[in-house]
Amino acid sequence: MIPYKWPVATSVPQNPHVRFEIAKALRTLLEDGDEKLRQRRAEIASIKRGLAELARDLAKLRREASSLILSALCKYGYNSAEPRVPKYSPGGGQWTDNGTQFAASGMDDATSILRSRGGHHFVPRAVYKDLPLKLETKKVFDDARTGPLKGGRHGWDADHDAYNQAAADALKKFLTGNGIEPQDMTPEQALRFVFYIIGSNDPRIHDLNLRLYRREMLRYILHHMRLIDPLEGPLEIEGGSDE
Amino acid sequence: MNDQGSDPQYETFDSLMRAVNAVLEQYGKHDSLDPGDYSVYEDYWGFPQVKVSIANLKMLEPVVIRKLQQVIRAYPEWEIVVAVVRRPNYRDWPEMGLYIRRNEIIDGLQRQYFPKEFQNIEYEGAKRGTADD
Repeated sequence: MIPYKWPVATSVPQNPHVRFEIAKALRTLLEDGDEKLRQRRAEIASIKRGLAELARDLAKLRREASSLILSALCKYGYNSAEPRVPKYSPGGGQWTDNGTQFAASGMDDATSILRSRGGHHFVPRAVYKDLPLKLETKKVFDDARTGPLKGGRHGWDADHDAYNQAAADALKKFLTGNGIEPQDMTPEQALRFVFYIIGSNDPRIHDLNLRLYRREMLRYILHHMRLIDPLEGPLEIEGGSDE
Repeated sequence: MNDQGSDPQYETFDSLMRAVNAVLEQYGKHDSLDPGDYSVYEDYWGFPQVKVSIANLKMLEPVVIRKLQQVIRAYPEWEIVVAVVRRPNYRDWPEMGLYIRRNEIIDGLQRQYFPKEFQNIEYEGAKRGTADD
């Protein structure tokens, strides 16, 4: 019998045992590579899922921000549909059919969150400053502000103008829809309108309010957060300490 | 304590905002419940600026802008931001406007969108620029 001759000259021993060992090693190497590839793919898929979830959360936040703000405000005792006896009053927290009772004794409680100094008026002054409102009604609009803003300078965008027009349209509808003459508008009606504006889904109103808060939050994060470099340690942002 | 807490700049803002209003009301009607020719944004944002939105292009006449520049000369480091808006279809026109400063006017108007009678408006000493200038 003529023994089998390997077709290529090689220094690797050609007996079956060695060839089997080589094949086994090759398979192990390939499996190793496959495993790493699988792991990498799983990581990428996991990152993609994470990003998709983040995008969904952001979209949800954008949709629900108004109602979240409103619901947060409600914790301070406000409910536009069902006036309650204010906190610290006899029967405080209980629902009441008497809206004026809320107005008479509870305004401080309900408006305390809106007594911000400075910043953006939720109801623009241009909209109400010429109306013959009672002083206490006007004060509700005057006080309903975001608080001081430091987020950015003005450019040539039309957002403020659109906001003013939308707020004016809404106030006109509110007054005519409720049969209210401006001179008869009560502080609690003004407050109800303020909350309507804060929770408005009109994109002209909603988008600007959301943008303001987003920008302020970003400014706060950039201003107060200490970035950590893994090698160099904490990075101080210029002007990072304040207040 | 002023309306803006302890920010001393607010007094300056308030004074400039009133002065701007005083100039503009000579030439047009401000917004109220009904739309007017212009509106002055009366909230202080922490920057040395007063923002005006112009809806009626006649408010862009050089005489009006010159008067606004006379006003701003008394307020070093401050500027008047004039945004030109197209109501109610705001997106029909790109963002455009003027920065009126003590020593210069940055002109970012895109006159090709204006009716013919307003396309040749020019301001003495103005230089063309963008919203980032």
